[in-house]
Amino acid sequence: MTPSEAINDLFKQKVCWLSDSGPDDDIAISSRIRFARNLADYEFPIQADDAALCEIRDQVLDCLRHISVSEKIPVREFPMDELSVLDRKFLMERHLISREFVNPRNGAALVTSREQGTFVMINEEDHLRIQVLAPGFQLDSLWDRIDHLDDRLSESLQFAYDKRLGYLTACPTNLGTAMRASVMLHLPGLALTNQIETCVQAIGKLGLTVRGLFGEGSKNQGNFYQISNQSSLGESEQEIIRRLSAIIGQIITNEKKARSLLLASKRSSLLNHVSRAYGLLLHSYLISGSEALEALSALRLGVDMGMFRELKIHTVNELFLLVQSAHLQKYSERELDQNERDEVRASLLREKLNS
Amino acid sequence: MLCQKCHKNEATIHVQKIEDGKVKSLHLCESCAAKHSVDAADLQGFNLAEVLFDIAGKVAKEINSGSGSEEESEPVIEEICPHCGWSLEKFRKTGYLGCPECYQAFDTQIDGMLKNIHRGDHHIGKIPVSAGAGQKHSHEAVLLKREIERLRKEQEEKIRREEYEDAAVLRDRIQELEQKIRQLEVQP
Repeated sequence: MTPSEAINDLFKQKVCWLSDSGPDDDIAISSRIRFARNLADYEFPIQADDAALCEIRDQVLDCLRHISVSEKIPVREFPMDELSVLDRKFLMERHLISREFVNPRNGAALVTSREQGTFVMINEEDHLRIQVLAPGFQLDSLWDRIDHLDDRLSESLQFAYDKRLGYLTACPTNLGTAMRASVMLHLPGLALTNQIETCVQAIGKLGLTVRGLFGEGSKNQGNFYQISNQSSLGESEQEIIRRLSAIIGQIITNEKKARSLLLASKRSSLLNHVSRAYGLLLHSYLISGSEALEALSALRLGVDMGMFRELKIHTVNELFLLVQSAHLQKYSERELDQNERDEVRASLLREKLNS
Repeated sequence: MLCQKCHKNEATIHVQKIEDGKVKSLHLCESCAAKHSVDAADLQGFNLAEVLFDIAGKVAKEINSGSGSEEESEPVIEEICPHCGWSLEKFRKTGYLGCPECYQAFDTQIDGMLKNIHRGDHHIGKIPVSAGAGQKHSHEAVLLKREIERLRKEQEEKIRREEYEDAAVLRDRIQELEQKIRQLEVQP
């Protein structure tokens, strides 16, 4: 299978963390943990020469192939230099690679399980970025998965590690556990009740990071907020997860309260907000990416509140991905300019929401 | 909230940094954040290069003022990692180190930064399997002892506040960890 055929296969494959059910998935879209790891005997990717980068890639690929066979997890390999820019953007929209990887250095590669819940970026900022993703709010089960994979990798790879500083990373901000755990939350209730800014500020004060993120532009659109730990040194992985989970739990409770408040005291304005968005999605012939995201966010809220019996929340989740630029071009099987994208996006939304 | 730099776009990047013990907040749109070298794709929650530069800059200033040449900018001998040739200057500019050995080469500068970035300056957590069973066990014991120390402090605090139930939970946890250490020391 050529890399481009493998990309097309991935496009048809459903994304486990968007399409499957998970705990609190009315509010928590997905949970993610990533570990940064480096090989002890090599310079970090920013300083390593091309030959070293290729050696690193081959060692890590070998090791991952071995694990894939023994754990019976089919994987796909994507050397970045063999992919078109569009294919790389597609992988970024799927959250399988970072923005930096769209313009990769030599020796950059992605290895992902076919259901796209476990993947490793090779030669990004660090030699390895090991990641696991799951639907809903479930950091504990993710921890077990990534801990196991990391142990398997470190059986044959010698990681850069210092007794006092922990895992050594290219940037000192990732030092120690080199772990970042995050949960993507959909918080339209807090936004509509004007509590979101206070909430975001409070989270910042608790030493966590808030990012608004969903693919293209990475703007704070559609009321999506990704909450993650900032510090990675001085606390164990479990402690970081515990602290993060406690705060996420509180945010979820507050979002639920806000939604019931809206339903109880601002029923008609809520219905108006959701129904207008639905109308826009159903009857547009040209719709921009940001307009679609905002409307889908409102629709998702409506689906969760039981306003659309025939529509499933996972269908809406998948639409968030499908309306993005590289996905639209994969869907049309050709490159599209902005105007064409707006047209295809509108027609795709009409088709999916009418069926 | 509007971006504090351009006052036009919606602020989507919320940056916090600690300066002189005070938390400073900055709310930026994506394009302004990019100009300020904040990587939107993997944001650390504060302006990375700037913070690193600030702190490293302060260290440099302190060194300079110590030698009594605050106003004259004397040429400073460039510090280089003997292993990979990465310079302190490059670290200041990019926020990145060149190789694992750089942590030793620039330890003074890095140590000064750690407490501003992280919750501590000692690793508590996973140990690579490749560290070898013996080393892994003795290291694991060190980490457990560190964890016990931390829990003891927390326990004292609970007792001081007369939260005895919580203190009892911590006591049990400490005993559990002590048991674990004994097991590790018995194992080869």
